[in-house]
Amino acid sequence: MKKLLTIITLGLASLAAIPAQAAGVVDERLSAYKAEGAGPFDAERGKAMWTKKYTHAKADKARSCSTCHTDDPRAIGKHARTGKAIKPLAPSVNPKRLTEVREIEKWFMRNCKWTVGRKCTPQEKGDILSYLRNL
Amino acid sequence: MSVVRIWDLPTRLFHWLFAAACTVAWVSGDDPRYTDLHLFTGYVALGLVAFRLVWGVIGGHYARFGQFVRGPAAVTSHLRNLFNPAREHEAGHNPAGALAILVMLGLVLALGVTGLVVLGGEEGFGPLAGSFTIAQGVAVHEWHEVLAWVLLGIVLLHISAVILESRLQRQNLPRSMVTGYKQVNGSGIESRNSPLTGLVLLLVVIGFAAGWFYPYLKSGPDKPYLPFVGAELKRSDLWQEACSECHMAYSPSLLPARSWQTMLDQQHDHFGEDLFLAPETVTALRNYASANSAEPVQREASWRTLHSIDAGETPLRITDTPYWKKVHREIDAAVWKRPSVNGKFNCAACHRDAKQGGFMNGAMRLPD
Repeated sequence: MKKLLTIITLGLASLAAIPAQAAGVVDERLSAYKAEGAGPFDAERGKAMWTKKYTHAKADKARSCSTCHTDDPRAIGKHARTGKAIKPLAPSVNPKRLTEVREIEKWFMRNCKWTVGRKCTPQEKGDILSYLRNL
Repeated sequence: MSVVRIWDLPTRLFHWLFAAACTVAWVSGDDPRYTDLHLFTGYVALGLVAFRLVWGVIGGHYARFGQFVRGPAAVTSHLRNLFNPAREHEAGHNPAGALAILVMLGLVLALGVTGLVVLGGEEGFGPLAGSFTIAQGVAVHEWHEVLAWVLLGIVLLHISAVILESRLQRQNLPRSMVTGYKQVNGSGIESRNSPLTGLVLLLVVIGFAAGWFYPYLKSGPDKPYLPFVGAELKRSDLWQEACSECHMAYSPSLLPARSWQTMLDQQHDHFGEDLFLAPETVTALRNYASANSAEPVQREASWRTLHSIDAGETPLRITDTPYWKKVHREIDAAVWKRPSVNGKFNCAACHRDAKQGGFMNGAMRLPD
């Protein structure tokens, strides 16, 4: 009986959209953004932001998340300048993603500044994370 | 007039193997891709010099130094009477030819020794590895090249003289170096042929070649045989991880410490990107970069890069250093655009030991 329960539990767990580790970290981030006054978060708004083209003083041509990550965060991307391959960002295909707070915030800082030309707001970050976790 | 065997088999084999080894070594010397071939032919030439010195004492009659080495007076007299129809032709080497032989043997010996100093100093390989600094290797490299040009001059002179003598003597002298037989005045002295020594000489060279090149047979596109991959430089997992997020992790040995320090000072505008590295990460990267920058790392690539940069300059790109530009100037623009290369960010596309930080001459291949 106990064995059967374990099998059912494991089976249910494998159906979850993203690995438990990423889910916990993303939940923690979303509450942190809420504490900063953001929310509720919308995966659809995150999806729209993903392909939205931004122009700013430092960008010679319009940039978006998809410039390097492609339109599909589950696909392998390519660094716009160096051409280096970028592993998929969606935790559903790359379980290592979104598992460390420090990494999430580092990449938001690095890539929002490059793409959008400024830091992303807690609302934008929450929307993007909501989009990525549900892919 | 009679036809007798002048050149014994070992002397003939020596002559043609020596000519082939020197030719291939000369041609393969300039391109780092052929370093392995250059070293092989260099060792063969050096070994052949050693053989010839011994054979000059114990070899056939006309192979012995005692038979053909003459004083300066004989050389002058020979040259003065070069076109004199009454001149008696030597059965073996004439005095001027003898001088050329000594000079060529001496030059190749010097080329072999300087070559080993360059290999040991610049690349850290070979029997003299560890005995010479990179600076010494670089200095001796220049002598090595000068000697190679002098050798080319002497060889061209030797070939011209053989053609001239063939005409004056009305016989094909290069062919006699193949068959061993020559037309001589009077009855002439016959050289013993020493076929067994010749066979051993040939087998030693073939065996050496087989041993040298055998690993290439077992290599494939996935596991290339790299005879000159340098020992891996001190590794840092943090450096590898942090620097390879957007491009390959460049070896800190390719820029001076001041370049890395400035780059880390400017981490919030790293070629247009804010790296947003944690302060403790920056500190650790600084320490690793300073300890493993071009200055303390005794590698040819770092040494030459460092010495190409003006003291007042702090290049932030490896591709901005004069040495980088110099050694890559002949790479066609189309090569950089090949999918297998994908731009100047990807050192490892051609330098198969780039990730270990080696950048050895012999580990360089242009990909398809």
